Amino acid sequence: MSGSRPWVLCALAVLATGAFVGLELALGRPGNGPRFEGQAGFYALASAGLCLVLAGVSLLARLILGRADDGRSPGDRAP
Amino acid sequence: MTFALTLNPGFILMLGALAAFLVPHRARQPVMLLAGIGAVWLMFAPEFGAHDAFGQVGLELVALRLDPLSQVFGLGFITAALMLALASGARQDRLEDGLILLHAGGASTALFAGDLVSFIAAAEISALAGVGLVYAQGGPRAQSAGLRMFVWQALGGLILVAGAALLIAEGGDAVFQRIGTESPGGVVFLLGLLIKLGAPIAHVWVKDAYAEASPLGTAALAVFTTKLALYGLARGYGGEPILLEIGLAMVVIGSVYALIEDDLRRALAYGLIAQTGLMTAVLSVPTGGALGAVAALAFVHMLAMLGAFIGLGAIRLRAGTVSAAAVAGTAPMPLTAAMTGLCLLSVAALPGLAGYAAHSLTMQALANAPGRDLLFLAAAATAAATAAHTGWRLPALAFFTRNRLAPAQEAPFPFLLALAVLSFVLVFVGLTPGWLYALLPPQPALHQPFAPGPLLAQAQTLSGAAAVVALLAGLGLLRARKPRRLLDADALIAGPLVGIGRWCGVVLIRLFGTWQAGEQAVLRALSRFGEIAGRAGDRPYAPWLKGEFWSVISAAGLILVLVVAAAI
Repeated sequence: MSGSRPWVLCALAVLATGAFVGLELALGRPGNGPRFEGQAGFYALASAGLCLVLAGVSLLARLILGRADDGRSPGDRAP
Repeated sequence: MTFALTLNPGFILMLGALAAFLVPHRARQPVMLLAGIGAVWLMFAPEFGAHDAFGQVGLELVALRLDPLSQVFGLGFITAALMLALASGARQDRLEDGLILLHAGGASTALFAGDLVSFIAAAEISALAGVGLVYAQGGPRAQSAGLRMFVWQALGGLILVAGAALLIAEGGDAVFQRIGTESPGGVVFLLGLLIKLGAPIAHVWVKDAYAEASPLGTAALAVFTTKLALYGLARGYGGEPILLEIGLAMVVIGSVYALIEDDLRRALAYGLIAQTGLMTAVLSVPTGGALGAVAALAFVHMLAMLGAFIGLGAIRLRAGTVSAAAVAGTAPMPLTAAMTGLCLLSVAALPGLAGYAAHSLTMQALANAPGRDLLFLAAAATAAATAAHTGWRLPALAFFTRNRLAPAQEAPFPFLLALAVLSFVLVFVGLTPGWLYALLPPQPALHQPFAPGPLLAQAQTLSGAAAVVALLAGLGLLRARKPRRLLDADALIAGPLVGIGRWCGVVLIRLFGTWQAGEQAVLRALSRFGEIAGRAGDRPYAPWLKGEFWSVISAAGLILVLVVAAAI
């Protein structure tokens, strides 16, 4: 993906998230599943927050653990 | 007819494998399909229970035990074998066709076996066939990955044998039932299963074997290897608290690597490790609902992962690579993309697909289990992470490409056919999950996955993750610009640990050499002393110094003995 398309998709995803949270509120807060009853938007915020943290950790891991591909697996020398 | 009805369904697949090795290409696909159909028939024909127990080497072996747990896993295994048979028409490879069926047959036989000995024997047949599948791809990378898988599988098998021997010695019973970690045998057996499951450290064989095997070989491995170990855990260790920590460690490792790995099949393998980790963690809950949820998750993931790996394998077949950095310039594959994306979104539990039916059941099972708040949150977090790395990132990297100059080149027709059937099954189960729930052990309480609560929760989870993935794509962080290899635990094993091992080996060899040299010196000295003593005793008329010396010593000794005897 390149250009403006990811940003359009990002905007759409944010809008969809907002719509789901709004729907939750409109339905009289039916609850977010078996737990977190009445905490509208919990899953949206938690999911986005967790994915951001995971992305940060992963990118840091890529910087630390990433090596140019030399055609060999890191463990090629021994099982 | 009694014999046929009590035959282990996996035997049919193994017989089919032998036939596949022998018959010509045109007959291989029908043979594989017939073997799968025969196995399904055998699985549903007999009543539940243990059949055909017989004595062997002093142990009671049970060739067929059918219950809801083995039936759900078996249905997934045999359906996957049928789909692989459908897809196998894409190429002519006698060895791989036979190995796929042998791999499936061994796993299915182990699944339906009722005793530890049969379970281990069949699991090892399956593991060896799996190693053969990796080697069948050819090339140094595949050979390296195959060797690594062989070492880990052999180690796991050896530990399983040791565990079974201890268990039989402790209890005198070879029946594979609830084992637990109360006894040493149970702990050892668990260790063997964890290696085959791809638990942390041992997970390195999973990500390499799945990345280096052929397109269909990887798809077969994704279904039969780790899921068989998961079945072993469900059968023997349901409710064990230690599974929580092990499972969550798998979730963290798998999720972090899946989000940054460049090789798309390896990224999906990490995603599979994360998902298997979640199932392992849920097994730590000692309720029937949790066991049923794990069975449902396993069944759905077998089929969804099978389709996803077939789709990614099609990219490798067409483009020659599945590197995210490299496939950005490949031709679009609309049909393959749609059906593979559906399989990936099923893994990510998109409502309406089979993955959601199992996911919502899992969340309900955890919510109903007392004192499991942490696990409930972890399962919700795993769903969000899976949505990010498997549901959104993989399709974006694999199919939304920049270069559309090349003509569209879809996956081979047999691949598309298998993908179409799998997509149908995933949608069918997703929209009408009741029949899957009816198969589960035990049947869950009334569960409504399409109630507003769970539906909106999962919709928010997926859309929140999508926003973050799109943000990463916009920032250009979704993939590395050049193919990169990530260091994992195998780099530690191949580097410092091997160095330490080599150093310890050298030191031990030198210590042994020193010990041997010292031992020889002492023996030489004793021998010389004996020689001198003997010579002195044999020569009474030798020069006086030596003869007198020994005479005096002998007399002194005699006097000493007499004095001591008198004193006593």
